Amino acid sequence: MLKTKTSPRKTHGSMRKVLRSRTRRTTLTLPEPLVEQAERLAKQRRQTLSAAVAGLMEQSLRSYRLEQHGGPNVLESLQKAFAPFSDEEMLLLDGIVMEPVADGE
Amino acid sequence: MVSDLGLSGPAVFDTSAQSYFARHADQTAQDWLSAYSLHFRIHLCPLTVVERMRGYWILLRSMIGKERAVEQAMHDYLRHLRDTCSVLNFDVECALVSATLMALNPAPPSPPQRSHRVAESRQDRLSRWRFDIMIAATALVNGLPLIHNNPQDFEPLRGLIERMPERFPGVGPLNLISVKRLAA
Repeated sequence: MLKTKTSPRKTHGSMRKVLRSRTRRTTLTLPEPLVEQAERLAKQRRQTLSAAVAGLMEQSLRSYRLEQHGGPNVLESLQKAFAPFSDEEMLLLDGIVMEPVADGE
Repeated sequence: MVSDLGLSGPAVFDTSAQSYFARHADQTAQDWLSAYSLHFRIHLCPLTVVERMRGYWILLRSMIGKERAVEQAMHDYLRHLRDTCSVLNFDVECALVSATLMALNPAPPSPPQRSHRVAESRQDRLSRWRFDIMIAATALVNGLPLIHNNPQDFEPLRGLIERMPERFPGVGPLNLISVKRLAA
């Protein structure tokens, strides 16, 4: 049974800090056909060239890192985020808000 | 190999799919997710983050005496988002597709959830239906498959887009992948 009380102690600002990632301006010399392909992909995905290249680099580095060392376990990190909750509480995290119903309803 | 995943690129994960992998997935489905994460990040619609974070905040207010555990889980979720997920933009094209889907499908295709002593209100069911429409629209506009564990809501949308492609110019079809298929 869910009870209601107390206001949240964490601010949205402190949550955002966890998500923020910095960027750095840099110059790379790349083969022209690769740049053209990346530009096409960026257009297709409706991203900036920087975002598309960052995505591709991230994907390649991820595969490389995981092949070398094994990486953050996606399943483990998901399970941790939902670990303390019962099935009823999980409904709330799935966007399903259930309220108590009066007898006879 | 990417081809072993049955995908040629990343996929959008519905809220229901992430929960399935975290709580109910069998070994085959777990192995599939591990293989997927070798190649791609988990792509999410921002509405999935809204659903999750709203849930965490409600739990934080309601689980008296367990606030620390809820806060820790919330931070673990945000770390999971940062380290393993990409949250897509919900832009004007997503808004236009969502509006069309909502107008053509105003009512949720299944009744509010109900169990022994608790029930979902009609308003909450309607808002969840609209969230699902926006999640589907995000996958559709970005041309990515949608992995889900909610066929009741998503299959009618797929059917509608297939029947009325002229209403969705430049996008579609909606490629749905049930988590149950990954477990098979």
